[in-house]
Amino acid sequence: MRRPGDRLRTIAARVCRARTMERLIDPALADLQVEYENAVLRGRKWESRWVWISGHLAFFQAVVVHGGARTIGILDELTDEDRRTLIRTSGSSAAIIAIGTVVLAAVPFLRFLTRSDPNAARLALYVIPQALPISVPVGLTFGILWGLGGAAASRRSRTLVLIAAVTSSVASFTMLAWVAPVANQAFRVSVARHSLAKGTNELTLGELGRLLEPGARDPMTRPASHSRGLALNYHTRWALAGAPLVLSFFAVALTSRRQRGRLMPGLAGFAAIFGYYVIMSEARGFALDRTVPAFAAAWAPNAALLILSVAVMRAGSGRSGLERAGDAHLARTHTMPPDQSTGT
Amino acid sequence: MPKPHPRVLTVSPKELLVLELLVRGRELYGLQLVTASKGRLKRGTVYVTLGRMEEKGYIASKLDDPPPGAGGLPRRLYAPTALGRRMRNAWTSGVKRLVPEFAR
Repeated sequence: MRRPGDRLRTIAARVCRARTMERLIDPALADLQVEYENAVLRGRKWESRWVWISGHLAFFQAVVVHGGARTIGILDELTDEDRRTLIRTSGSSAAIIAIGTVVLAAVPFLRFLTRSDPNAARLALYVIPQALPISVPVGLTFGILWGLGGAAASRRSRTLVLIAAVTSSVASFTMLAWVAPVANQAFRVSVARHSLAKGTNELTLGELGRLLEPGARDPMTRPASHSRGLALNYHTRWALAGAPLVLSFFAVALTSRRQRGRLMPGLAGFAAIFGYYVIMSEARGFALDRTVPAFAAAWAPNAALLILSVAVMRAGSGRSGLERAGDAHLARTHTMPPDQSTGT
Repeated sequence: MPKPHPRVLTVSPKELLVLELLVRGRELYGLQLVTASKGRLKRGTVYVTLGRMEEKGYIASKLDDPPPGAGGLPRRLYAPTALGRRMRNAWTSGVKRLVPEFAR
């Protein structure tokens, strides 16, 4: 019999440390299970439901509070060198994101700017949510390569950078799921100056999801082949939200290798971003031809980059292991008394 | 070089409350602490507090027997350590000396 919290525990066991499982996850879930079982045994249906809901909410609250406390713990332990590294990383990321957003937003916007439209400023704002899901992963990748590269960044710095990447992915998801579609539609209506039916890109994630449900009726009466496009659009929004995290992970993996200079990691970062969007475009074609399912096509770039990152990280750890062994040998040689090291 | 942990020998109001409840004599589960605190401890944060206190050495925990019917997770029981009792006594007597109103 599956008890409440069993599935959560399985997921948590894959991502949490043994200590966190022992001190936080297991005690919280054990209480939930006992309380739920007591309510069921007493035949109190509504109480058991309430226990189920409140227990799960408490569990998620505990996980969030613990995550925050861990982050604060890491912040407490930062050295001056860590702070310099993080300022360099966040500063360069923010600068690249700002430049990238302006450039990407300017491309569709320039056409309307020449008309000296009194709504120009508002139109420019509508374009920004479209640009951010592209400029953020690109900015983070190069920012990390610049900030963490060229020096041996500590584990604390890398952890904080990955926490920032997770936050960026959540923000990207919000943009792709709700903000960008609404802004797109507002942009179109502002330009056309009359109401317009929503296109696929103007549907929020919830609206797209409802259209994909079996038996759902599309008010736009789009052709059947269009449903593939809808499914692809739906899954791509989820997958693209993962781009900041996946590309940051790749950049962190690259910088975890001992390296000299920033040119080679920079080129590798450029190749990764280029490859990401090439795979996305190619996979999109396969999905529209029905060669591969929409879900697989949407997630292909993330999966490819994740595999590449793990390979880079493994290669890096293998090399640094050898280097550590070499360093240890050198240290032994240097600390030996002169009579031993010279063999006399 | 990481800075030494500044929270090692401090005690927060919530930690003091947990110590107060545990010092009254018996081992308690996390959820029992929430109930006994009459709403001052929250279900969503009690295990974070307990984990931190265990790290500081103020309390110790052990797994209870698995629930009858097998399959469920065993619950964790918490009790104060000698250090926890000393911290609680020192803090309480210190507060009483500084603010006598609390002693009444």
